[in-house]
Amino acid sequence: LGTEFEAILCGSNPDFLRDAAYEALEEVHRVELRLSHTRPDSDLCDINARAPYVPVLLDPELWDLVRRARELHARSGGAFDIAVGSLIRLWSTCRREARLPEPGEVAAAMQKCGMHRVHADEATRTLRTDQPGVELNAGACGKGYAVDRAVEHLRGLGVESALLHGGTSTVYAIGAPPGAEAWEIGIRHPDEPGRRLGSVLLRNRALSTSGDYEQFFTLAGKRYSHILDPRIGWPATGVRSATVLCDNAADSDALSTAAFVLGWERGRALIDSTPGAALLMLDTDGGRDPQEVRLIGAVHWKAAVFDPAQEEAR
Amino acid sequence: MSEESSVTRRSVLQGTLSAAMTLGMPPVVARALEIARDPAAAAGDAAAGKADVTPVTLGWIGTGVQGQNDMTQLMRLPGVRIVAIADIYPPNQQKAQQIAPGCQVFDDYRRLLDRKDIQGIGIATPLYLHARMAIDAMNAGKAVYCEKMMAYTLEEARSMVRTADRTGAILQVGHQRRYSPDYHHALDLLKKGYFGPITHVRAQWNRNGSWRRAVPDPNNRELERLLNWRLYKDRSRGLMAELGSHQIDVTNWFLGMHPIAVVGIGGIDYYKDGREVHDNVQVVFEYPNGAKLTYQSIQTNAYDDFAEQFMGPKGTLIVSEAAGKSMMFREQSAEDFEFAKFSQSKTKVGGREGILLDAGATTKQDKRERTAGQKLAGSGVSKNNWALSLEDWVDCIRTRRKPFCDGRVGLADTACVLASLKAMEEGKRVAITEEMMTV
Repeated sequence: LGTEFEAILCGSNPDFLRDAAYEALEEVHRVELRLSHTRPDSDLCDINARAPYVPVLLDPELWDLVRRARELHARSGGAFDIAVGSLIRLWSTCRREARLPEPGEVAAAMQKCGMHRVHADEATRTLRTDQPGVELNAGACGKGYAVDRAVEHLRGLGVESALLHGGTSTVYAIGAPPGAEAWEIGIRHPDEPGRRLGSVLLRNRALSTSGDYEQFFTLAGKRYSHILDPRIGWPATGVRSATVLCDNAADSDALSTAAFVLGWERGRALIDSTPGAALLMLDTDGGRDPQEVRLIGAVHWKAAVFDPAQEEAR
Repeated sequence: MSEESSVTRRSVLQGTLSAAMTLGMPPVVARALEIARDPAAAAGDAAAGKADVTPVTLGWIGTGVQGQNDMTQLMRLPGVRIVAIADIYPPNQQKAQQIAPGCQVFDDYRRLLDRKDIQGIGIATPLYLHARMAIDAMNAGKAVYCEKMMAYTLEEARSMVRTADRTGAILQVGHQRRYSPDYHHALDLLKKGYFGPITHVRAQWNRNGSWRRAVPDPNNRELERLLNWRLYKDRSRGLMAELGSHQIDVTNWFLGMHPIAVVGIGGIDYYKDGREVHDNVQVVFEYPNGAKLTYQSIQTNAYDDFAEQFMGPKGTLIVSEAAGKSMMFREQSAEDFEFAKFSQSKTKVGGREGILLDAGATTKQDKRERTAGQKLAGSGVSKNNWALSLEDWVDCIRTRRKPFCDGRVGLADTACVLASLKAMEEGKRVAITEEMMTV
């Protein structure tokens, strides 16, 4: 999944917590082996290799992942799409070669892109793709999914206080640290990693941020984000970051990407239709004062910050 | 992978896949290689009804981490149904139900064996339980996939083989490297003599971690021994069995023989946490032709993680399940090292087939150009070894053929591992005899 994962566990038995953290990261590793796009024998690569030729049977875990991705694809009007392997490949090449793609290259990649080229048969749990080169890539949701599975494992072991994150962009909080009401998560300035613009109190919830300040590349003074708009085949532009809070990390990971691509108005509508989710979007004041951060908007924020169970208890 | 190198890989593969090579392969692996060469062949199979999707009904005993991984791969095979599982630990039962929704859950594996519709049973329980479960399953008319190491004692392993012989049941042991297209390819290179006669083998499995499972209730002794069975002598044979057995099997397979003796030193020197099995092992096996296998498994440093390294006077072959780690190196003195010229070429040279070098991935090690290592190119097969191993087992059930990695392979491996433990415990050279491997 191309990123560092970390688990912080609190409790009274350090030996148990160390072993539990190890198992949580083992679970992340398991998901990585299933979803990796760099390992040619990962289960997802296997699906990509065979699905152009035969309907490929998925096990329930991967089926569920694909089902959720298809659902969000529909809800986001195509702004979230995991069938973007060809586009990601093209833009990685361009980034490495420090150039922009030719229009023909983008068009060719788009021909092998999009969930509408992936046919899922619920009854047989099989996937089929239109043609060779149509590839699923879990980059926009795999990290969150791995965090969820690790959280589930820790809860199964009885862990009541922990923080898990993948690459600091997707985090899940189990309970709260000792003596506190919730885990406090900082929201960073898009251009100054050390500068905190605010914080979120998180308990039994997930938080993800998609920003153009991670894995971008610059050409002729223009910044190109690694987050692609699957509808047009180009990096998404418009905002600096989208932060989404909701009850699981796979969804927060995917929703933050979708909201980033959609921008404020439509991103807000997507979050409005997601129970328990909250959105916060930032932009910088571009040419005039690049240091000036502008809050485009935040919805459902206050209500969603706290654990619903706790809200009821009050 | 760039377009160019994948094309290269395919064109080289076409030269590689000689009939002689696929002959020694499990059929499912050979077919996977053919499909990697020509992906449309899979569609042809389906259209011609050649893809066998005859329903196969399975059960699984032991649904901890390994069992869950095995079950997940089985659930990706058309026609396969896992209808029941057995495990005594409720969290494992729950995870198994997520993997195989609707499966029946038993605490007692014998109840599972009572189900007449079940054709095959997988076993991924603690080592000391393998034999009794496998034997009961075979006697109940089931095919068996038993995780490695095959058995806790030599007599148990022999008894499993005898039961398979007597009942005619399919008994496959979970040494999944035997189902790796990459390992088969590496073996082909070795057999062609590119490295000269193999005089030494070095293998290791190094980790940095306690090997402990987290026990939710630390005061519960019973739960501790249940979850951390690998650490206790009455249930486990430690690192040599859980990790080393894979690599000893690879060495036996590649060299085509079994060792005749072993010496070794092990200890509980770092994790003094009540465990009863070694936290580090170093052993040397001697083969009949004088070749040696030096093996190490440690738990305090993960450098070099896991690989098997075959060394001959002309060069070195490193094979590993870790992605991108399989490599070849030439010796400086090997003037006529035949694969060296392939580092300059992306296609067949001199009409010689079977050399698979990904020239694009050439790396230089130690700044010594003449000994530059060559990465072994991937086979192009998209399925992983575990998937292929289990798929071949299912194919054995469908076609009633004998497995490639059968009980005799597992028995020989068990004999080697147990001898190495005796050598470490008694501090002396222990002979490994043909008699040990005879049922």
